[in-house]
Amino acid sequence: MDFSGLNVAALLPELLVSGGGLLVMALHAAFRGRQDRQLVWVSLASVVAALAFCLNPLTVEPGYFGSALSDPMAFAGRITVLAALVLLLPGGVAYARSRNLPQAEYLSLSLFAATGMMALASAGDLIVLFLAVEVLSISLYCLAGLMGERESSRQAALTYFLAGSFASGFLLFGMALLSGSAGTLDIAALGTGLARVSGTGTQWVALGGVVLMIAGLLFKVGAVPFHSWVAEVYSGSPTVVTAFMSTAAKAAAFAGFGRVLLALGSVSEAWVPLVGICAGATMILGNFTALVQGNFKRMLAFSSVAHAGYLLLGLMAVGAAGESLEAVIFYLLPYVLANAALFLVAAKVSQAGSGNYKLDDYKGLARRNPWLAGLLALLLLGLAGMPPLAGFMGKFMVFSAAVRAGHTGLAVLGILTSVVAVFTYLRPVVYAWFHEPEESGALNLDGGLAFVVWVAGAGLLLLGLWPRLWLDLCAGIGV
Amino acid sequence: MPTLNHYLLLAILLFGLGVTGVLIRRNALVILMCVELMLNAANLALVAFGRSGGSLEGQAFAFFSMTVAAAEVAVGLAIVVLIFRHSGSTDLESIRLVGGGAREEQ
Repeated sequence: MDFSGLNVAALLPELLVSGGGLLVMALHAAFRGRQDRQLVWVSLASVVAALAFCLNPLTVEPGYFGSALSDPMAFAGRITVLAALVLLLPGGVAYARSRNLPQAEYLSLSLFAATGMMALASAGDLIVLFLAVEVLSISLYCLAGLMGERESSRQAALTYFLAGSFASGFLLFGMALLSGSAGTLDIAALGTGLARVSGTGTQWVALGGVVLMIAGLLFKVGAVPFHSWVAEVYSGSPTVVTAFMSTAAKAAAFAGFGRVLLALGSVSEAWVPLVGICAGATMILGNFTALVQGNFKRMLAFSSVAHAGYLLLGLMAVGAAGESLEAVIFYLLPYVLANAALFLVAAKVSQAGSGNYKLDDYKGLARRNPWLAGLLALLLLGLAGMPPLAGFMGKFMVFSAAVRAGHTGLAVLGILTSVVAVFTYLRPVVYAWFHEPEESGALNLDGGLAFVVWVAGAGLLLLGLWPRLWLDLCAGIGV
Repeated sequence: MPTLNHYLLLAILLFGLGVTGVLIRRNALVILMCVELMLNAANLALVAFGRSGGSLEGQAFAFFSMTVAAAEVAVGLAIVVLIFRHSGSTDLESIRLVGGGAREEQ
């Protein structure tokens, strides 16, 4: 037996992060919860170590006989998830402490969920893909219910669990039909396996599997028509958990989704109309629902539905026309940076104001803290896709990939709905700069939050001005 | 002698039964059982395909999915218990009524 294909180091980033989660649990138990304030440093150390190992030459070889890949998609997915953790964990712990939530549970569950997300981005076969989806989902069900004393958090956990496990059923049954009829579990070999059975009766079983699997994945990314759980789960979960779900989890889900669709390019006529309708409906519904929200957290929730629509458009181009995943890879990082920072700002501003995430809390923010109001504008305009920020480059790349693949109509729809999105994102900015404050007194940021907001803002500018920086780094990885 | 097609037909029937149950039943526990039915339909299809194709991959996948299903049920039941302690019911409609129309935000 040849063990040269078993390169354990390929999974080192995942192993480090899950090891960090286990260590947090062990330390919490060993000190009986007295040293919980230090646990965030243990978690951050494991995340930074994992970041370092993403660049390790051993890790950039595929491992486990091809089950764990190391290609640009895996690298970009891992870095995006780890960046979200670096931004969210310190703020999340401060949030948990101020609301009496269990810190050790928050940290370890976040790290376990991140393990699943990273594995999802680097999955080379269907078993790893399914396990990764479940590891991240089950951890997130627990995180959604972390504030179990609150009605809304319990509801969010139940809704997320029921919707998520229903979607898992579709995903698994689709995988069973697809892998059985294609005769392989290797994602990259699905296309050739399907070509072998085309024209026989087995083909219909395989196509049924493709449709069920795509339905399950659409459910997980919260695309229309499977978006009904998003509003309740995102607004009911603790804000730092919502931030994690709508950034890192969504990025990882799209990485896995992209890998599957890339492999299914040979049967693209079966799924492109399906995904296309969902992408169009998601862009329209997400943007218009976000526009009418009077609640900042709900607005961000629906805007993340809208972004899922743009990402689906990018994925369609990939499977159909042999485009690379470059546009999707680029779209994800600025989206994650801006959204993570905005959710933390939302928690802070809401706590200092109504406590209800009302948009009115942003009135006159520029008088109370001009730097925060300026960075808020930068982040929101970055999400809206204003040049020269990175959101613009992301949208530009997705739309031009869609046009090259022949989906001109959907690209035009995307551009039109982006205009609606600009109005959505400008509302808090106008409130902050051109309205009188309802409360006077400065609104000071603590050091951790200021760091997050500055890093996210700088990242958006940097990626917008030099997009090749990130793309070349990804393209240089692995095979 | 049952062939692969018979097993697949049974798996599709079980899956359809599970989906219908999730969509029409309003009790959280019954929905949980119907989700289990969906996952087991997938297991049956995996094992049947693996057996007919002469490879062990399907069987291995089925073992993984059984483990995952167990973990999922453990977390799901914990959430249902948490809800039951506060509202005294596992019926989705009455849980929602207790929650009222406007939900508070954190």
